[in-house]
Amino acid sequence: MHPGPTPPPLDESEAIARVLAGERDAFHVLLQRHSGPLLATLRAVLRNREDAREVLQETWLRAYRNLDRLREPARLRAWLVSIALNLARAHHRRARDGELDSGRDGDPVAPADGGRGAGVDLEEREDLARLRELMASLPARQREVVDLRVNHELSHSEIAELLGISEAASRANYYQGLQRLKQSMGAALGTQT
Amino acid sequence: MTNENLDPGADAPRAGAACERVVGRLALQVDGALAPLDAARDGGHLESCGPCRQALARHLALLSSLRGLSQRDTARDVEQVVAAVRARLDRTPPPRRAAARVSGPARATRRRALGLAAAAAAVLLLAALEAWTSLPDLDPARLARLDWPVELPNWSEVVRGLESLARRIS
Repeated sequence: MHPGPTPPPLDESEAIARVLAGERDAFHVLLQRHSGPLLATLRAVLRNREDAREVLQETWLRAYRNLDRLREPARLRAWLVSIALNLARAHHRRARDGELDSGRDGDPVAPADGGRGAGVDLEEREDLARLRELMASLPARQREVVDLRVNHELSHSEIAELLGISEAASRANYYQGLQRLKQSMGAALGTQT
Repeated sequence: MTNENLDPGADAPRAGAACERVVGRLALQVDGALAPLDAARDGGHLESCGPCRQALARHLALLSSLRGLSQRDTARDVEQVVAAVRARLDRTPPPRRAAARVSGPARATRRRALGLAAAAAAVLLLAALEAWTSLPDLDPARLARLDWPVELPNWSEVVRGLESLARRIS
């Protein structure tokens, strides 16, 4: 059977309006679009794959229940990140206070597929592994800002609000983080980048 | 802090000062953070300078790799999380429309009712105060000589005052 023309991707504002009108399936658009970057952020913050998955689930459920409180659909990404970061902080606190299963500490963050994505050659895999290490070695603030800017495409003003820093500090951390990554990648490859 | 200090040109081509300046603030250029005049000037330089274009390509490749890294690392987990969330959504009550919350006329009615209640409370308090101050000294000997009951406020007047106040507010 011919599948026919693919419908255009649903605009996020439209998806939000439909969910609020009772179309639960429209939420899937948001889930698909934002889960990857959110999970990457949570894994970097929590440094535990299983915890990150759990907090991401809770993030989505909270977002679903409170979707009517989102006054500006254009701020959806920043809103989701703020929910995720708040839940991650709460998770951290519970872990610190011993309320969570301590056995989870033995599940460090690692690529879900061991870095063996389809069609990824050895050289690219090594570069990505190196980049992953370098990102993890950045100072926390630089890593957070680079992640929020690159993966979530948040503005510096949104990042500043989320992290409680100034916009200038967000910019400075972003440029310094990128510069450090470039220098380290160049040094690792033995080339002048 | 100057733009150049934010993004020192460690990977600047070994060329003139223009190249050093342009490569030194590539991140700002890509980030849309340069003043329009500076952005136009650097853009013009990039069009005509091969080594600077290569530096720009490396910068863009880094950004692309960072995005790819997060997608590659999370792809399988995302599938599982999405499936789990969808299953849990089926057991979660749907979000309410913002319009369904107390708003518009309903909110105005509630505000008016609260105003009335506050006004009524204030009038009752005043009446109680008046009654209290009109009480004679509580000397047991004097109290024994008094004809009871002590004069109380005229409650029908209080009620009429309240009704009048309510009419004025609404």
